[in-house]
Formats: sequence, structure tokens, C-alpha cells
Amino acid sequence: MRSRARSLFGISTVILTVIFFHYFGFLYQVEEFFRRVIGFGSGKIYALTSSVESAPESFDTVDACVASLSNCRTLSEQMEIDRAAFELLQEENVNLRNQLHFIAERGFITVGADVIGKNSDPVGNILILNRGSNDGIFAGAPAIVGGGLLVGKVVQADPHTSLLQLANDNRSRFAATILNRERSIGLVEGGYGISVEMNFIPQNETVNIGDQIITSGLETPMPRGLIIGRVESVEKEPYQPFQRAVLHPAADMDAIAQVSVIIGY
Amino acid sequence: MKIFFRVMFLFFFVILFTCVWIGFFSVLPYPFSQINVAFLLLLSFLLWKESGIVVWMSFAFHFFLELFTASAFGIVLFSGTMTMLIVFWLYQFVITNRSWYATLFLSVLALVVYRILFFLLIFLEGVWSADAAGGVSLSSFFPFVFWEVGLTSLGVVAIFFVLNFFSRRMSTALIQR
Repeated sequence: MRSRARSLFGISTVILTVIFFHYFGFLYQVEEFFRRVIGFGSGKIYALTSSVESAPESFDTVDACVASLSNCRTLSEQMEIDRAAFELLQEENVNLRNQLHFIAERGFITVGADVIGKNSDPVGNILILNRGSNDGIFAGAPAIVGGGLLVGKVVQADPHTSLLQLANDNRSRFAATILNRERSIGLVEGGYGISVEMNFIPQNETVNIGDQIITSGLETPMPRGLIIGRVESVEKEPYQPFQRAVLHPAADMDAIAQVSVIIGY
Repeated sequence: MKIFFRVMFLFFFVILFTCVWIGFFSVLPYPFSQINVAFLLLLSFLLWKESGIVVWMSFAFHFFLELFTASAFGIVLFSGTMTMLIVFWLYQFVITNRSWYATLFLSVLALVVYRILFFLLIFLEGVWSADAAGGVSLSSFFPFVFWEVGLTSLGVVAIFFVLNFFSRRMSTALIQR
């Protein structure tokens, strides 16, 4: 009994000492060394895992392959038509903006980062990035993929690595605007790695399925106009002051290999 | 010198499996991403070696995991290390035999104790920081914890059978103190 009490006391002392040293910064160099070592190793393994997951699609029958090819051709033709329309619209947009003396370019300053691992603890849905405060990344900086699709927000920036909290993490919060007639504002919140919802939408404003949600720009340093997703369903109860929308995120949270972290705009 | 090399080997082993957990297991499709690799290996090591060094291995494993966790420093470290200490005592003084059902019971108990300590500390962190957004709804975590306990325990039992097949060391018998 006495030896157990001694063991408990000894181990508790060691743990509390380590926690104390961490908060006073004495372990900083040691922690950074292990972050780099483990980040390097997990990065290599994660890259291998990603390349296996993105292997070419396979088909069970020749007919399925032919059908998929036909589908691709149809989509390609449609995209050519859309591209032509887009170029016309783009030209018109530039002319209008010049007429109104409007600045066209967004001028984001970004840092590209690779994902080297993931922490899938039930409390947090976190990606580990291979860039940190030495590259200009800071806590609160938003991260995007593609053409402005919001992925999440940096919650911790160490010198060489950083932790990115995904939009569907249960602690994730973004001030957002719906691109509807009223330009409704609300709060986008994640749901335990599964869903994304927009809450506190005024009851009297019209929200339709398919409406696009963007960041409102009301919180620093989140710029306006980053695409969060589209409305998938609307939950509205009588006599409640607010309604809620379930969103389909624009970015695929399960297939992220590189992100751009916005550090200035 | 022999002890030094053994310690270095275990240290390297812990770092390697931390990399594997973060870079591979965490990105598996749900529910397989919920497998707790730390406890899978630590419990297997405990059954194989029956040594108290497993508690220090748990300390190292959870310290490295702490470096990649967004929650307050010390939560994962404390809950992981204390759980392994409790499990080691239970194995030595309560369970005291080596069988597949004892292994299953030990594994389930270890993960339940770990998650109880973990969520208790998360709750205290939320109270301390007065962060309303940091509060957690325990009922929403039950599916995650259920899969973690279930899959990890099955993994430990599977490793037990594999080790039992290849070595007499794991034969059903009273453990040596």
C-alpha cells in the first residue's frame, strides 16, 4: 500500500513538474524538437496515405467505364460553354468596377501549408500543418482551399507547425452572411466533426435551400467573402426568435492535403 | 549499458507509433479513426512484459500527443499516465490472470477510466476559462467513445491471441509479481 502511494506521488510530481515547466516556457526547445521530429515522420506517412486514397477510380464492368467516360465528355462540353459565359461576365464585371472606381483584386497575403497529420480526438477536429509562426501564421488566421473555400481557423501557431481547427469542429465559430435577399447574418458553428450549422438567423428573414453562405467580415482577421457552404435544410420553429440552417460545407473536410492560410488582406 | 539501449529503443518505438497514429490511423475512415493506438500498444506491452515501465511509456506517448492537441497542456498527459498507473495496479493486484476475457475487461476499463478523467479535466478547463463555447455535451461523445472502447479492446484481444499463438509466455496463468 505504501509503495503504491509512493508511486502515485512520484508520478504525479513528475506530471505536475512537466506542466509547470511547460507554462513557464522551460520546455519550449524540447517540445519544438519533438514537434519537428514527429511532424516530419507523420508528414511522410500522411503523404503516403493520401496518395493511396487518391488512386484512380476503378470500374466493375466495361459498361460502367463507358458510362463514366460519356458523363465526363458531357460535363466537359458544359464546362466549355460555362467558361465562355464566365469570360463575358468577367469582362463586363471589370468594366463596371472600373466605372465605379472599385478595387478589383482582393489582394490576400497567404502562406501555403501541407497537412502532415490529423488529431481525431472526439473533442477536436484538428489538422496539423507544416508551417507556423516563423512563416507568419498566427492564431485566428483563416485557411482556405481552392478559390476561397473556407476550411477552418488556426488555433495554435508554434514556430514550425500549427494546428488548424476545421469548420465542422464543435468549437468552431464563424460570423457569416447568407447570400439571400436580406443578406441575413448569423453564426456558423461546427458539430463534432460531422455537420456545420448556421444559428441565430432572424426568424422573419427568408432562407432557401441552396443559398450560399460566406464569411461576413465582422470578425478580425476573417475577411469577407470566403465561401463556407450552401444551405441544405432550414429548421424553423414558431415563436422562436431565430431559425437555424444546416449547411453543406463547400470544402471536402476529409480530403485536404494543402491549404492556404490568409495572414493579411 | 544494456538498460540504456533498451530505454532508447522504447523511446524510439514510442516516437514511431506517435507518427503512425497522427499520420495514418487518424485519417482512416470513421469509425476506425477512433482506435486508440496508444492504449492498444501499451496494454499489449503490459500483457507481454508485465513491467511498470509501461507507465513511463504512457507518459512519453501522451506527452508527444500533447504537442499536437489544441486543448490545455496537461489534460491528455495527466489522464493517459494516471490511467495506465491505475490499470497496472489493477492488473497486478485485482485481475491477476492472463486470459482473453481478463484482457478484454482490462482494456474496456482502461479506456473508460481514461475518458472519464479526460472529460472531467475538459469540463474543469471550460469552467476555469469561463468559455461557454468550450463546454461539451457528453451525450454527443458517446458514439465516439463507444467505437473507441469497442475497436481498441477488440484490437488488444486480437493481439493477445496472436501473442498467445506464438509464445508460451502468454499462456493462461497467474501473473508473476
